[in-house]
Amino acid sequence: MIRFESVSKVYDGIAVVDDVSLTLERGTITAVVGTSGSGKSTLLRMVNRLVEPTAGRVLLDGTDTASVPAADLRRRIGYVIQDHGLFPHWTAARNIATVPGLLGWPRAAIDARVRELMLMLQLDPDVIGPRFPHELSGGQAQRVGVARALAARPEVLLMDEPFGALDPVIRQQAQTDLRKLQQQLGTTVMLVTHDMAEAIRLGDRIAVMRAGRIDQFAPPAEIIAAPATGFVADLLGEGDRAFRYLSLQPAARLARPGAADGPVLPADATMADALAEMIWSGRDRLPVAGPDGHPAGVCTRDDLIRAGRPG
Amino acid sequence: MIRSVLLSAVTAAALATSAHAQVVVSSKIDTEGGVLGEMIRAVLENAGIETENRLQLGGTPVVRQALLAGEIDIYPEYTGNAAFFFNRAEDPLWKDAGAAYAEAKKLDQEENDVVWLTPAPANNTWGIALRTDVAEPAGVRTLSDFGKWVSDGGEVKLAASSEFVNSAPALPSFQAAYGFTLGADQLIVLSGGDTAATIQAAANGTSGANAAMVYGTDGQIAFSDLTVLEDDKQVQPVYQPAPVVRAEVLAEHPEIEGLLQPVFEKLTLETLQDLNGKVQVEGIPAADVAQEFLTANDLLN
Amino acid sequence: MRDRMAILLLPLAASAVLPLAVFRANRIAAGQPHGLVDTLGPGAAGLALGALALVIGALLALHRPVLRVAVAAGLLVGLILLMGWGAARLAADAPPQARVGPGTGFWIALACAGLLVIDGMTRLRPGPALRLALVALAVGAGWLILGSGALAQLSVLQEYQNRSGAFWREGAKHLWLAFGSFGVAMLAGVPAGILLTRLPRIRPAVLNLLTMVQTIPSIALFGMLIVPLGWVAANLPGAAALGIRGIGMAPAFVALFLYSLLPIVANTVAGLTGVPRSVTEAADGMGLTARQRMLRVDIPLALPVILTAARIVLVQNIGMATVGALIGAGGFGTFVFQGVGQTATDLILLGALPTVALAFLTSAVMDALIAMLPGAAR
Ligand SMILES: Nc1ncnc2c1ncn2[C@@H]1O[C@H](COP(=O)(O)OP(=O)(O)OP(=O)(O)O)[C@@H](O)[C@H]1O
Ligand SMILES: [Mg+2]
Repeated sequence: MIRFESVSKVYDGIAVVDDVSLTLERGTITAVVGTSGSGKSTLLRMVNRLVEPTAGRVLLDGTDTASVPAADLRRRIGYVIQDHGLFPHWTAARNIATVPGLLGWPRAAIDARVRELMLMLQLDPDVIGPRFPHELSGGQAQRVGVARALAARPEVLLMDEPFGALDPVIRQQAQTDLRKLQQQLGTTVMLVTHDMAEAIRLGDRIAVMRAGRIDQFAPPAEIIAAPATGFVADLLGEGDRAFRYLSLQPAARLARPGAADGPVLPADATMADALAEMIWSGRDRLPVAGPDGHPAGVCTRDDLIRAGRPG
Repeated sequence: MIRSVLLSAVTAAALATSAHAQVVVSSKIDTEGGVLGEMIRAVLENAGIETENRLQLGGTPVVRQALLAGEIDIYPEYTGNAAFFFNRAEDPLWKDAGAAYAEAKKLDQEENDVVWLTPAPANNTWGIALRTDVAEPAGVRTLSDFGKWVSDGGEVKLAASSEFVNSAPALPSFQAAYGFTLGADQLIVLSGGDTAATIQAAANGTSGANAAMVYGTDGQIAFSDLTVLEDDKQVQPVYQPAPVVRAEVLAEHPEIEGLLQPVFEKLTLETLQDLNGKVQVEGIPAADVAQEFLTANDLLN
Repeated sequence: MRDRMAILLLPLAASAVLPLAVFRANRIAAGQPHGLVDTLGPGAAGLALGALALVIGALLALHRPVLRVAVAAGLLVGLILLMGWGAARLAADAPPQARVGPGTGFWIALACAGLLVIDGMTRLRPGPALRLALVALAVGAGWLILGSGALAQLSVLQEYQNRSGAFWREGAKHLWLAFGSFGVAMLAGVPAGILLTRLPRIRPAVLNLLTMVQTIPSIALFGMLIVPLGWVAANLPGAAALGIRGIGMAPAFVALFLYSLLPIVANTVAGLTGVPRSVTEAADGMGLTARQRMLRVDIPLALPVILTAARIVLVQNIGMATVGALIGAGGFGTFVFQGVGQTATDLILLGALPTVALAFLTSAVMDALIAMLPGAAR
């Protein structure tokens, strides 16, 4: 659990983070969104003390981070940045081994952990492991960066625009992978992004920042249903709100008994996926798969359109 | 760490002090410096005085400074250079061998506690050399002879650097003193030429050259059948080589004076030309040339 | 590509009719040129010409760079051995003070062979390890040829034989001067550079000062140091005992040290400030301490730039150490300046050739080392 208590950061008389109080629950993903310069990175970097707060304190599982030596603190916290920041003179494997090495793990344990992580992130340890960063694709480098951050099994993972440098297709894959990984490991993630779609897709809760302050801190559905300020609404984009809302809900929830023609909608499809499929295939009823993969009912256009309006 | 540094400093200090009990023999970097320096060293060593070899150390200012700073103890210097050491270049006194030596000795003793020992009877100064096959039949031995011979229509063609031809103390002062004038057709001016080039030109008769600008003891002269003409009216400052030694060291080893005197007295112009020539022309190491000369003249033992 | 180098075959062929050797009655006399037949005798000259024709034919016919390099290298070695043999033949019935040196024909042929080797090498692009091996091979071959006495009658080697003891003594001094001052400059300059990256305010002032030092002509700087160092030696207890003197090694050492500082300090600063921000940020975020970051990340990443400075400084020091001979520091310059004084070209070469060879070797080795650094393709 990460807890900000009235935290501020002042540079040259300007509060770039201004009296922020926020609690990030253990095992959740919190997405911090906002426009450029709103103080997202500064807020994030106060968790691992790359930036020291001017006022207030940051607690990690109840302990004031200021009371822990910075290096020790950072070794317990994973950190992923946009340009991955891999050490160019070390191989991918050695990069991943950084923090376990600093913590003095035995050689064998480090090697085993590196292998495990690489497999978890779909990197072939024998092929990618010995490569230098300049020999990796952008996506591979990004995954090595995530593996490096997770190497010492941190309970907290800080990510500053981790997918910023990826192309849209790979980015979507990376987001899906992160979500799975997080669920599997139960890590508490604080993720900075300026992409609202990414925040909605990944965040259990979203903190919207503007000029150093938090405009709204709520689950995605609530952000969409009830933007607290005009700024939040602007960030969501007027025209996209209904679709964003639909994209948060599983289509299976609308399944009612019955049958329909055509390909079956997968069990994990969202309502947005269902609507898109209806428009594209010209149908107004779709068979929906149950958890076992077999058609469990149908979903109708009228139900979908009703579900796209909060309240 | 600090201890080992201190320790090595102490060892170095011990080495340095023991090294300083030796007489540090030095010389200038030129050929003659090497020959004379090796002679001094061989003679001292032979007499049981331990020496440290700092021969051919550098140019005149470097060697002179080193002597005054006590970093070297003895080296061969030229009397004429004292004119520059004591800022008295204008004084005509330096053109008289005896007076120049006496003055240099006096000044250095008084101001620097440096002693000039017996000089060699050779003058390594700017001069003119004539091909022997021209000089002998014409009976030219001195510059006075040369002046008369040239004025009487003797056929001469002098190879010289433009500095020698143009600078007042050189050719112009010779012409004024000995009453001759060389026209443009009697000169071969090698701009930037050194004595090696002028001697070669005269020796090979390049462009009809039969005379050359030289330094008195140039090693090439002996191999080129040239005769250096005596500056009998003493137009040029005299540059006699003599060992100069720090008084402190001489007091410690007073026998040095007596050891070197017979050696330097033997070093005439022709002898030095010959010895320098062995080094410069034949490429024999200076130490060997010095040793050979000393042995041949029974100067060791 | 091949055509560009084929142009070299023309002067190579022409070199056969130019003087192979120069004979001088003594070491400073004017030289008389001797042609191929004169130098080698008709039989050997014929063989040499045949071999040259074969080599030219081979270079025209062969396309693989490896083979061309091998042929050119063979030509290089053959030429040198031939020169040594010819010199011995000419010297055989001449008086001992006579000297035989290479003539224009030899130099042109040698230059052509050298260029062909270099061209082939650049085309082969050998990796750093192979380059080191080739350097070692070249040194070994040179050592063997010189040690065999095959070149003993060449004028430069005659000079060597007359002072072999002094040669190695001065060589050792030269190495100590060049490498010692470099070592001290590294020990001082790298930490100074690290410090300057943290003190951006005084950085320009310090770098400007070092640049000024760099612009002082070497002989002037050597001379300028005589007085202060002499003062230190005379007035600071223990300084003289440590070998600090106004003349000799100390001022030359200090001057070379001062010259070395600018490249080392400036490149250390450039190397360290050139470490990407994302990398330092990641290092800090992983929990490396300041010291760990410096040793494991910053310095290794700056190393190629620092080593480039090291290469520059070493080559510069090896060359500049020659001037030290003028203030009693010794080194190969001793032969250069004695040679100038005696107008003996061969003696000048005896000082200059090892200096050039040393600089070339050092540069090649440093280049290979830099290329061998991990992640070097960055
Ligand atoms: N070390 C610093 N010194 C002075 N000002 C700073 C410093 N770091 C950040 N700032 C300022 O603080 C403000 C917030 O910066 P921050 O990096 O937190 O923004 P951000 O929300 O992450 O923006 P972006 O989306 O562009 O990364 C900016 O105006 C920035 O210029
Ligand atoms: Mg940011």
